[in-house]
Amino acid sequence: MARELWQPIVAGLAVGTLARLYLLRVDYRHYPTTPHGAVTHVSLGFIAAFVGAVAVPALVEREFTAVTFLVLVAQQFREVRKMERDHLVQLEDREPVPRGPDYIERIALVFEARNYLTMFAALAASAGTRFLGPVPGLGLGLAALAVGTRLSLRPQTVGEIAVVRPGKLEFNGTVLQVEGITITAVGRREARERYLREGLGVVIEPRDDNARATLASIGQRQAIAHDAGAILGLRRDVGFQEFTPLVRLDLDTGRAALAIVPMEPDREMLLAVVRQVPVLETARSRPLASRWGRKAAD
Amino acid sequence: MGKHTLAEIILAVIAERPDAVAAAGAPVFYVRDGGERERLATFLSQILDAMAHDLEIGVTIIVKH
Repeated sequence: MARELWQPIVAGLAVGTLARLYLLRVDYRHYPTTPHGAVTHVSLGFIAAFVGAVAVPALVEREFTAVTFLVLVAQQFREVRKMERDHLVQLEDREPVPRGPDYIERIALVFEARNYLTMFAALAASAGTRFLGPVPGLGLGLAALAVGTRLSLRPQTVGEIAVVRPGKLEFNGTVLQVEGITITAVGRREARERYLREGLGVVIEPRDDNARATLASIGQRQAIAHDAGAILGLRRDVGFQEFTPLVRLDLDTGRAALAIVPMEPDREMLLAVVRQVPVLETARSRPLASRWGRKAAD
Repeated sequence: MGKHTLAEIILAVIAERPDAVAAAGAPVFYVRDGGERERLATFLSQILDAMAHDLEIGVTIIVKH
């Protein structure tokens, strides 16, 4: 086979597969499952990279049907999103703190999008190799990966849109509050005592009206509760629903508050976890981008 | 998703005062004092994997969230 044919393909395949591996590694916080899950995604990533790598050399050879494969693969990526969604929805019933549909949708979307990024990285590498030579080609592929990485791995976080600080847990009668923000009513004295002894409170103060609208999303708050519980551990089992962490709003100010009884009563780590929760794309809201929203805010 | 569950429904009522509750829908457990109410709240909330809410009139309800 001619050198100008296989070189771009190999370069694209290598860069694309590496891209998928690299992007997969960072997923583990959201997706703490098995080696088998990883095998599935690396395999699909390999296919994505292959299609991306073949496209340009095929076009140069006037094999225009090759383009249809891109369409076919795009279809596959949508299957990936569905697969991830189904998988997480299946497990949802058994989660001590459900992720909620918003968070699941976000995770599934990220999986789909990262396959496209893989394909583009492969495409860039193979096109670069074909027209500029192997070294600039690899450079181009890695540059495409870097752009994709910035896009995909640096989501806005709760810590960026809000000030996250400790808040004092207290009871008003049987009503659990964090700095006056009502969380829930806890009916059993023993449970109340445990909250006071081991519970931690966090107040999340939105930095502006956009952030306030984002925090008002129930899905966003569910994601915060899920991550806090998943990372710090919960003193909760079947039969102890009262220790489910909750994030509730202060309707007067738009602040949100989290109450949790974690396994690891480490206040600083809890704050760090809440700060790094991604802002869900479905929850992100920008009322200040509208004329009426800006007017209403002043 | 879209499943019907027993969430947000009063599953049981634990009452110290018979005059505060009318028996309708959920089972009502009458107890003698606060200690009994607390104990029953613990049992029922754990058995039903639900939450006990004290209505502060001598009545506790069990609700699944």
